[in-house]
Amino acid sequence: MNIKLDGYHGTEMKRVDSILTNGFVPSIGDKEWLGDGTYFFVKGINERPEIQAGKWAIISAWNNKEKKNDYDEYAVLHGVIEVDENKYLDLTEPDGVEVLDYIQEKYTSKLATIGKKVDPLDGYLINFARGEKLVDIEVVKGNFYIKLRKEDRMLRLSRRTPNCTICSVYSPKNNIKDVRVISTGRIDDEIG
Amino acid sequence: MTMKLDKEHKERIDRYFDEISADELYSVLTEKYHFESKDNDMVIVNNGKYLCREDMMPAFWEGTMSYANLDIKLEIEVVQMDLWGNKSDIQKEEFVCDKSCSIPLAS
Repeated sequence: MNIKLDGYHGTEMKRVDSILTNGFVPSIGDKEWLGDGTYFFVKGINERPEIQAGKWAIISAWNNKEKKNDYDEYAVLHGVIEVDENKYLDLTEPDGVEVLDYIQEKYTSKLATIGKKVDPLDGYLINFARGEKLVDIEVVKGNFYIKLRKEDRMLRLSRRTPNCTICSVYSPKNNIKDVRVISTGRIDDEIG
Repeated sequence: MTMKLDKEHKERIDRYFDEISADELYSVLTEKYHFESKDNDMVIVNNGKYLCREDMMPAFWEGTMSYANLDIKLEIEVVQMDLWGNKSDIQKEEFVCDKSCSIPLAS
């Protein structure tokens, strides 16, 4: 059975044409979240993922090193994420967490026999599980705390209680359909 | 609706970990998937066992572990000396429990 999710992706305006023409390019290196892939805000712990995607696009514009915005205009794209339920790891559900727990238990037990220990960040673990073909994952969903306000980032505010539900899609060309722009805006207008 | 840890998944995962050596797994995790090594947290105890230092110490200080039920007492003593070695100026009296405290720190 196929699962369908409405996914929202915030990005800079100049990337929109390329995304609509050539599709999304997966990010490599988001290992602290859900591993490599294209990220979408989805409904879950928050009912307005499209708003969160917009906020993400706005705060992501800020380049703290250069002390200026990298882009002035942003867009929020909507796409339908479609995936076979057997290739969908939902880490907001007990069954999904059990899969990841089992893999973690196996590798930590094995490493303990030689006195080794590694840091089990979610993204690392998911990349490992996929890369070594322990499980055939196309889409992962999880709840995270993401700083969505400028103040949260400036003051480095963080907490453990999640505020967003996000999905990582590893092969956007296979699993994302009907991509369209649902809103646009200027960064200056939003940040003030 | 999500992937589940069914028999097929379990067997596939078990087979992978049965077939790979611990050393090879460590290389795969750290070099191919960039897991951060936490080797410094580990301490060697009797009979070639390994324990995580941070996991072991709180239980010891909270009194939930005692020498009587440990087969690792020698190593615990070494860790204790490491912690207190350079703190001879700390007086024992500083750790007297304030029983008027409303927070149940100790019972």
